Amino acid sequence: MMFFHVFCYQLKNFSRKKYIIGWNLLFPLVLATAFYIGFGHMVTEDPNSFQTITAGYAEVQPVSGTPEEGTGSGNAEIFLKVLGQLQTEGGQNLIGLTRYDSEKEAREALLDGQIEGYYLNEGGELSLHIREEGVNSTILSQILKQYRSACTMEKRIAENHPSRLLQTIAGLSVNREYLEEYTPGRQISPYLQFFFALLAMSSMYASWIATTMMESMCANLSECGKRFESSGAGKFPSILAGALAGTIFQTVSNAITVLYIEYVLRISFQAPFPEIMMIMGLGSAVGIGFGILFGTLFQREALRVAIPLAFSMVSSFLSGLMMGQMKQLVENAVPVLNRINPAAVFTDSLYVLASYGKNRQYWLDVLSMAGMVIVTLSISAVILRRRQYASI
Amino acid sequence: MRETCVQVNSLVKRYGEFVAVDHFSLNVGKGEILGLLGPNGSGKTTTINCILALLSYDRGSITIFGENMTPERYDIKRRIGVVPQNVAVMDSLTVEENIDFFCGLYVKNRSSRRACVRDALAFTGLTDYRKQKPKKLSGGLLRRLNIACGIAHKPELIFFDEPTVAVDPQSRNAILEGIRKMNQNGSTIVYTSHYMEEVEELCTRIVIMDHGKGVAEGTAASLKAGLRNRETIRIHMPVRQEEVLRAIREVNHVYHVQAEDEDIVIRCDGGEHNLVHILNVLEEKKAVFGRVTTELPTLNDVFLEITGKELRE
Amino acid sequence: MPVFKAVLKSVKAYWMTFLIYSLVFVSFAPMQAESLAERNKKVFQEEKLAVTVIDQDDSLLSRSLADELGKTQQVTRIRGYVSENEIRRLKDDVNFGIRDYVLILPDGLGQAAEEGHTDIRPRFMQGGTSAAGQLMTTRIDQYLNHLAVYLQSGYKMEDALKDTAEDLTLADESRVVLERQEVRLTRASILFCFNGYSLSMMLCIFVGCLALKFRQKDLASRIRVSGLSFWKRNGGFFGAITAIGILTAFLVIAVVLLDAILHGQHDVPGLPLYILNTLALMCVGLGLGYLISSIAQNDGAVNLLANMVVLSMCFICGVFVDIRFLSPAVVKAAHFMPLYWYNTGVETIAEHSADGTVGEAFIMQLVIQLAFSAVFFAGGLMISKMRERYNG
Repeated sequence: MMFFHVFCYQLKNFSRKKYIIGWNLLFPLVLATAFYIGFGHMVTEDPNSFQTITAGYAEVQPVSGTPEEGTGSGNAEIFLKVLGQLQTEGGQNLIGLTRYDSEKEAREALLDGQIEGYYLNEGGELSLHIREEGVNSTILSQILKQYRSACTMEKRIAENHPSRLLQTIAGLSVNREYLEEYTPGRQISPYLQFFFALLAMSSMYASWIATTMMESMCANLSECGKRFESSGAGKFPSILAGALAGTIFQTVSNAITVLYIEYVLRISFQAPFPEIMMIMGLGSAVGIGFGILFGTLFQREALRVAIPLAFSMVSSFLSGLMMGQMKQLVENAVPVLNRINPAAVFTDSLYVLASYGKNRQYWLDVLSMAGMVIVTLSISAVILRRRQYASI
Repeated sequence: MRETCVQVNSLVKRYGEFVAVDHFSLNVGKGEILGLLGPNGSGKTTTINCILALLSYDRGSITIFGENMTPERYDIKRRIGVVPQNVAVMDSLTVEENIDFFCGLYVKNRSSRRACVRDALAFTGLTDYRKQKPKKLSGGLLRRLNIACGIAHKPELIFFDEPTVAVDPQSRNAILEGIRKMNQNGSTIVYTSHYMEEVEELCTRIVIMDHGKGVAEGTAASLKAGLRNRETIRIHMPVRQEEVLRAIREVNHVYHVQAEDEDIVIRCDGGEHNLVHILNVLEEKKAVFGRVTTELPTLNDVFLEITGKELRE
Repeated sequence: MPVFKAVLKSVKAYWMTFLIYSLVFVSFAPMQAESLAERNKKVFQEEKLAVTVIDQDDSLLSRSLADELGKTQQVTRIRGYVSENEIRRLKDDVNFGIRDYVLILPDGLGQAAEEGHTDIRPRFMQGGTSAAGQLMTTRIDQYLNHLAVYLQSGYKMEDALKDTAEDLTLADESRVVLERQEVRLTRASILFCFNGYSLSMMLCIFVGCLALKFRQKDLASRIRVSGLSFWKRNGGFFGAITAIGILTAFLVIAVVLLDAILHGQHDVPGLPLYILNTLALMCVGLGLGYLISSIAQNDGAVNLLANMVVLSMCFICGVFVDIRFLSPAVVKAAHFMPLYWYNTGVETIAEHSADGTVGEAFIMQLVIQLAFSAVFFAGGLMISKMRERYNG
């Protein structure tokens, strides 16, 4: 009965504190909106998705009377045919080619940004002119090399095995795709990691809810705490009641954020809502657990504000809040950090759920979070049990 | 002989090198209002916190209702009410919710609790403010709320730690009156303060603390009876004649005559009608004087005599 | 002077805030710089991708293919069997851009190639439908096609591999001309970019909390009725916060310089311009903090508003996500935010640090930032005056 009594009043307490509503409910919504405005389109459309590369072609006619005269056009036609045939696996044209009357025109178009590069045929000698380095320039360069290597191969076979030349030419005209794509699990956008990290940060902010609760229950933290500790209420059951209230409050806040992201911003987490909510609940409990531990360990008010803030920020940043790849970088460099960072475990569970479903890694993450809750509450219980203060 | 409610034996509490409570003993009888009087920093609040098992202590023993007091003795705690020195309420809850919350930590039954809350609101005069939040209340009302939260569950033993600090006179009188009523209803009260007038007015027995030690104990009357000075007469006399002062010194029971600014202060160690005798002497000597006041000894005088300093220094 | 000194002493109370954001800057900014910075190049170099080759075949073909890729890419080889967990980790690496490509050469590939059937095919994993993935797939298909032609023309595997390698080496001599010298973001510029977050946050919180403190009714009245003139009182306050801003800005600049020294650079090209740009950002931070203080009612609210505003701006203005990836509409909207102009200033300096000329564009970026700062200060003054009038 007393458990329920403390539970109800702590729930009322949290829901009436403006800064808790601000940090734990409003801030995630604002940040989610900022994410959506910034790169929401990149979650739904892959920004790295392949776009046809625009390229140009121009010829410089050889001086009349030179041996090169007449050879350029023949080579040009073969090369242009090769370019036209290039397609991606999806049937998209690799190159969008524009033919220019002069090098000057092609160069102007290049510097203007209309094309990414142009091939220049100087009397049969092909060269590539580009504006900047990058993947597309490299693809254009590769095409040129492919053409040249094919020419070299023809020459070599013509010299050494002339009887097989026709076979060679037939073989060159077929561009087979040898590779097949292998995609274990589902492909999800790397930009979704920002949203996962946002939810992780929000869950870790639950530590503030817990420190607020501890303030009202510990004699060394406030006058209210003194009154509470001298009352007839059992300390640990009361703290558990408050923790449960905090967890539910935070889970509801997270649920609102998730619903906002999924239904208003229309960004799918690629997992069923009940399963997402289970992770939200666990994540909130982890935040609460850590908050209780901070409230148990730190008496100074400045530390009780700064430590949860630092904890939430650093753990969220390491899980990918600022840099989407961060968690994966840490996984490669210091994997143990991802196992003990609650925000990283949280985001990993959402990522694994979305990409691979409920596999072994997912359950390990769930168990890790449950373990963190148990450990933090146990340490707090040991310290708080029978605690009398040396000074208050 | 009253039944003992609280027994403190040779309590010692140190903060590092500093001894806050120095072999302090206390005995609170059931049904009495015990005043714990002392200047700021004398160890009153530390003693209360040790009794409530909030603070650890270095030596001594504490029993409440005949049982050893420890942090897990929730059965004892349920019979105690605390009104701390600073206002201890939840800012986000209304007046009624605050009282209900703290009462609920002692009283499990919902309907009993509702009745207790209603009574506490009426008792402290907060019924009209029950829907307001603590931020909207004046200092006096806030103090009343502080009291209401501590007594709503009708405890047998109540600790009041300087409940009238920074409170307006009207609220102060209401608080003191309320405390008397609680005592009449059967509660034992331990009242700490550095205001001697309150303690004198309210308490059945007084313990004076200084530097962590108990320096005097007894009723107000018995404490004052121990003083040599039984009456202080102050006469405004800008122009003093030595002859007049000599004559006053010879009056019976006058043991000390001192000039203080434009007044002369005369202390008498007993007797009756001292003022009449002194006025006769002044008339005889045709002395010129102005305002005359007479004061009975106060607890401040007791404190001054024991410690050599004022209670409010 | 008394107000100036009081403000400076009061800022000590926020040492924890300073520590947290400094640590965030010192830890995360170099990480971001490490992964994003590119060196200036004068000659065209092909995009080097991080490729992992899982060689389960260990045949002549698989080894030669890996060797060929190793000539132009950053290849990591894994020989033999790889667990499912490891495959998933590699897939996650590719998804988050830590690796660009994973090639799996299954057992029996070499044998199948020699026998001329394609039932055993190499598999690949790439991030989405990325251009980098497309490049690698094209390259590998090119190699295998080339090899297949040789094999079909009667060559033995060993000779075919040797000639294929030679042909591709010859093709590498293709002429590629870089028409414009590309100057990319350097390490220093990325560190300065990150300042858009860390310096802004620190100053917003310091100034916000200090202004709030000194605006407290009783304290403000006490200062007002003192013997100090209006100009001395307000000059003292604004002078102090400017001093705090300058100190913080130079501390951050010192960190960037230290980073440069630790990485063997003796100077940071364009440093005076970076300093100017940072000081302009400092003014923005001070102004924004002052504006926030006029709206907030306590330190907690200052923290919350600062986080909401600054963090959101960072995502929309290209501090955490490259502005090239943001949609045009977002980039347009970002023009109305000061951090956009700071960021653009950093890019301008990076682009022109080699030749030292920045031109009018940079001056305009500075002026716009100062204008924002002035608007924020004016807004803050107006709002606080209005509140004084209504609240008394």
